[in-house]
Parts: sequence; C-alpha cells; structure tokens
Amino acid sequence: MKNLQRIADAYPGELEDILLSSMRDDAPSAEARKRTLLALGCAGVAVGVSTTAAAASGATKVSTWLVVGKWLSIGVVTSVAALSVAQEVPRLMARQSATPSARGATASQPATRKIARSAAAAVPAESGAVAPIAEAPLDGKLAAAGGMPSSARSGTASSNSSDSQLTKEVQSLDAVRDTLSRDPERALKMLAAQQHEFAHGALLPEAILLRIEALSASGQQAAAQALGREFLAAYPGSPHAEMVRGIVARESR
Amino acid sequence: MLDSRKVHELVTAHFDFVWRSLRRLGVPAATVDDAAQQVFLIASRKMLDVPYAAQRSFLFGVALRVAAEERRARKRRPEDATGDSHLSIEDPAPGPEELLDRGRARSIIDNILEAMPLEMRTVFILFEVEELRMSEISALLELPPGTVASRLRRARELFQLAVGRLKARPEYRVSP
Repeated sequence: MKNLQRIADAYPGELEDILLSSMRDDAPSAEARKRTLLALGCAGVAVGVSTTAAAASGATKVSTWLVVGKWLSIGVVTSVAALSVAQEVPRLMARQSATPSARGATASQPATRKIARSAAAAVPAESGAVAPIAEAPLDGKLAAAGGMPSSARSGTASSNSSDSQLTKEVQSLDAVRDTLSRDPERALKMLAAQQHEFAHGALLPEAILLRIEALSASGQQAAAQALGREFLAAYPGSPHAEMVRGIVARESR
Repeated sequence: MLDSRKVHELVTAHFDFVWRSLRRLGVPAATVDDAAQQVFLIASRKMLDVPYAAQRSFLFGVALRVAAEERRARKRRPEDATGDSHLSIEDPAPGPEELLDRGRARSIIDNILEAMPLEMRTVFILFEVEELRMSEISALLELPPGTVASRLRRARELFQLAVGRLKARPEYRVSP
C-alpha cells in the first residue's frame, strides 16, 4: 500500500498515465540538435540567432559591464603581478634554463584516440605555429557575440562550462567549413589547430569529415581515402558514412 | 537544397518531434541522435518544394523510413537485435517504485509499442505522444479518417491489454 500511495502522490493518475507521460517527457539533448545543425552546415545561423536574442533581451548590456569589470580586475591583478615579477626576475632567470619549453610539453602529450592521431598525421608539419590562423575567424565571431579578446580567452578556458566549450567547437568547425570551399589548404591548417584545441571534443567525427573533404579538395587523394577508410571503420553507422563512402569510392577511381 | 536559414528553422521547429518519433518507432537511444541527423540530412536535400504546412508530414515520412532502415540494420546484427530496450514485458516485472524512474517507464512503453504492428503504433504515438488530432493524423499520414480511427482504437486496445497484463502481476496486487 505504501508504494502505491507514493506513486499516487508523485504521479496522480494510473499506470497508463505514467507510461504515456514518460514518452511525452522524452527529449533530445541540446548537443544532439547542435550536432545536426553543424552537420547541415547551419550552426553559424544558430549562433547568430542566439546572439540576436541575447541582444534583444538586454543581455549585451550586462555582459558589457561584466567585461569592463573583468578588465579592471585584470588591470589591478596585472599591476600586482608585475611588481612581484620585478622582484623575482633574477631568480626566475636562474631557473629558466632548467624548465622545458611549453611547446615541447604540449608536443609530448599523447593522443587519446587512434583516429585522431591519424587525422593529424594526414597533414604533416602542422605544429602550434598554425594556431593563429585558426583563431582569427574565431575571434571575429566572439567579438561579434560580445565576447572577450583572444588574449583573455586562454585564461578562462578551463572555467568554461561544457556547453560553452561545445559552442566554441561548433564555431570553430563552422569557420573551417566557411573556409573549405575557398581555400582547402588553409582549412586543413585550421583543422590541425582545431584538433589541438578540442582534442577531446564532442564533434570529432564532424571534424574528421571536414578533414576528409579538405584533403580531397586540396588534391591529397591518397590521404583522403586512407582517412575515409579509418572513419568508416570507426563510425560505420554515422549519418556521414554514406558521404564518406562516396568520397572514398571517387578517390579510388 | 534548402538554404542555411531555412534548414536552421526546420531543425529548430521539428527536431524534438523527429527525435521523439524515432525513439517511439523503435530506434535505440544509442543511435537516435544519428538517426535524427539522417532525417534532416535527407530532408534538407529533398524539401525544397515542400510547402511549409506539409513539412511535419514530410519529416515524419522520412523518419518512418529511417526507422525502418535502422530496424532492418539491427536485424542484420543479431547481437543488438533487441536494441537498448532489454526489458520485455514478459521479464520479471518492475515494481511500482521502479516505475517512478522515467527511464524504466520508457523502457516498458517501448516494449509495448514494439509489440504493436507498425501502422497502429504510428497512429498511437502521433495521437498519444504528439497529441495530434485525428484529422491532423489523417492529413499527415494521408489516410482516410475512418482508417486512422480504427487503427487508433485497435492500438489502444493493445496498449490496455499490455498494461492489464502488467497490473495483473503480483507486484501490482495490493491487499487492502
């Protein structure tokens, strides 16, 4: 009796209602929608709409004050840090020779997924030097959305929520897609930088698909075909599998 | 091919509907996101001439085909022929407490739907989940209203029968 009473309290109605309402409540994740928009090449439209909505609701004003406050705080912190650094310079200089470079440390990080490694290998000589190429379009979009400059972005990246990470990832791939039709070589460089930034990104299959397209468009048929085969082995049920099969078949002719 | 803005509007307006329809048409949770994406990929290429009022109907038609294809693919892979819905209504029944878990409830309803013929299940989910009127379902599926009504009546009978069997189990019998 106790259990049935509890159900009656929580869900007024019969078993039929519980079952039917469980179906009505079922809903996709926001990420699923974003992935679909990205796959259809209209994720940028989504960003534009949400930005407009935010502006209309007055969110822009709030974010402006937040940005002003943030930069004032950064100014104060930077001044204090500069004073401290001035006192510590001799000691830091003495330690510098024993510290490995940041780039060396980044390069030594192991890749977590085989296909991600292969994707990187398909575009040789794309080290950290290409990162600014990928950041240029991103900065433009963030600025348009009332975001902060790129110099401040790296400092706050770790505190971003997974949702904003996903939004960034979508924007990044959107920028690649925009570039792909005009300049596939540059798109490849942007993808290499994108892979560094989103090594564990939620949109890895979409990034690899873009890389296959870019390799194909830039005349690197063998690499496109090899990566296409790896994609099909890793994601045989992907909605993009048909397209990749088409590319692989075309390149093998 | 539709332009980006129209595709965006299409996805925003109908993604939940398509996703839910696919789930209830038997596409497992693990692959439903991909299946929904597939529906919109197909629709964006073929929908240029579809009038706004018929978009939902068109998308549902594509979803029906994608779900059917998914079912066929699953049958070809016997190891996951049961999808993610491992709970049969013949299995040891969940107790009333477990029904409070929505996921568990969905698992039960999915098994009930799985046992329904597809044409009845289609009408049932449009009426009971999407809460469309019978005239709308009739237009959406391009079926005579009488056919929709009879399929819905039969689907409800099957649903009530399955729920009755659940209720008949000892876990649901409570002595006063």
